[in-house]
Amino acid sequence: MSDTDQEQSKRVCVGVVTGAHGLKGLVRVRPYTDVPEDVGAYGPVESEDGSRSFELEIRNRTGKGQVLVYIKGIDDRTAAEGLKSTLLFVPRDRLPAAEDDEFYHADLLGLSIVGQDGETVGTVRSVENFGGGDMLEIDDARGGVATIPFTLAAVPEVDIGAGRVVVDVSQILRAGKDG
Amino acid sequence: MARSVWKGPFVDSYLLKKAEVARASGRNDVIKTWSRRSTILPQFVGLTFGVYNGHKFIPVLVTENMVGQKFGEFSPTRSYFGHQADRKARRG
Amino acid sequence: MARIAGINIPTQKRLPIALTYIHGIGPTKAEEICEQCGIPLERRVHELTDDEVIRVRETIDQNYQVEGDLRREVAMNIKRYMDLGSYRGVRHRKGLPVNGQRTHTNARTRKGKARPIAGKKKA
Repeated sequence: MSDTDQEQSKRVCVGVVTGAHGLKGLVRVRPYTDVPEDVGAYGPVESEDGSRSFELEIRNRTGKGQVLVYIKGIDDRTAAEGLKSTLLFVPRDRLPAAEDDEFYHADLLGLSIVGQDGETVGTVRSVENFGGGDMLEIDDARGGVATIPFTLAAVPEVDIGAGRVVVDVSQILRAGKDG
Repeated sequence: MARSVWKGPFVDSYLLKKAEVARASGRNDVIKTWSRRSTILPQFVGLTFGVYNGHKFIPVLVTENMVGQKFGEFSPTRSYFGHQADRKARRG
Repeated sequence: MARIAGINIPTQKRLPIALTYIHGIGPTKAEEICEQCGIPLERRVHELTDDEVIRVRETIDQNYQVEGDLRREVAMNIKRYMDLGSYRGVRHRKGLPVNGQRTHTNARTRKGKARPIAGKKKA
């Protein structure tokens, strides 16, 4: 992992500016946060390269799950339009601490997965929930993509500090009948 | 048109058998299945199924309010579902 | 003037037709109700005696779920799907067809009026 990667992984993308709204410099933001209004809840956000920082003030919520935001210093439509498609980042450590047995997706992504006997299984590719409980999607060391339910039984240990997740190998679901 | 009540809910019979075995063994192993068309029955509650979506198996922990749905509904066959920044996963 | 099941006041029409103005009662149920109340199908609403109106009203109250109650139940069912996060719920949430219809074209009932795509120009 290079230095820039390290830097990147410490931030999470909380939203993207989708366009200008009205003449006074309001912008529409599509939030990637669980609760749309939380885009501004974690303090100032910065652009992708970190060069600009914005203070957001949530004005309103549009019907399509977007929020209207006033950004300090952006006072006319031209300036607002200039921000279109800017990704908004927040340092990871500004997010409130997760509760026991709760993990931010951002923290879980990329962790290496090992079996209980120390055998390397792969890395966390994504975390999904399709209504049947949370699950980890694994970039399988054997190739392909495997999945595992994110339950105490199947994933007994999550060690974010050490960058690894310990799983019960027998619970891994691989495509193919033998799995 | 809804399914006639007298037929009862549709389930592939081998799934029933597998579920019973899993129940009896007490080990909460994931039951792999390709039967996306099967209805989720009350006796499946608490078991975990790996429902195939044509690509991989999606683990589905059956809870009470899923009863009556089909397994396929919990294992989407297309991928993009958006991304979220501060979303949390709960290890249940 | 006949008030049945809350606010519905259909009048000059034949009873089985008038009843279908109530949310949750279609032609089949309307005829069922007429039969249960012993009212001929040709009878028009304004020709009903007070006694008959009461009978119809009570039959509906007791045996059928209509109007507000029905709407609430349907909304609850949909909400259940949405909370569950299953495929059906997601489709409801996104306002797209739920039962596997195509969305490449059509599906306008669910998607609402067509919106122009910005920047798409004629060749």
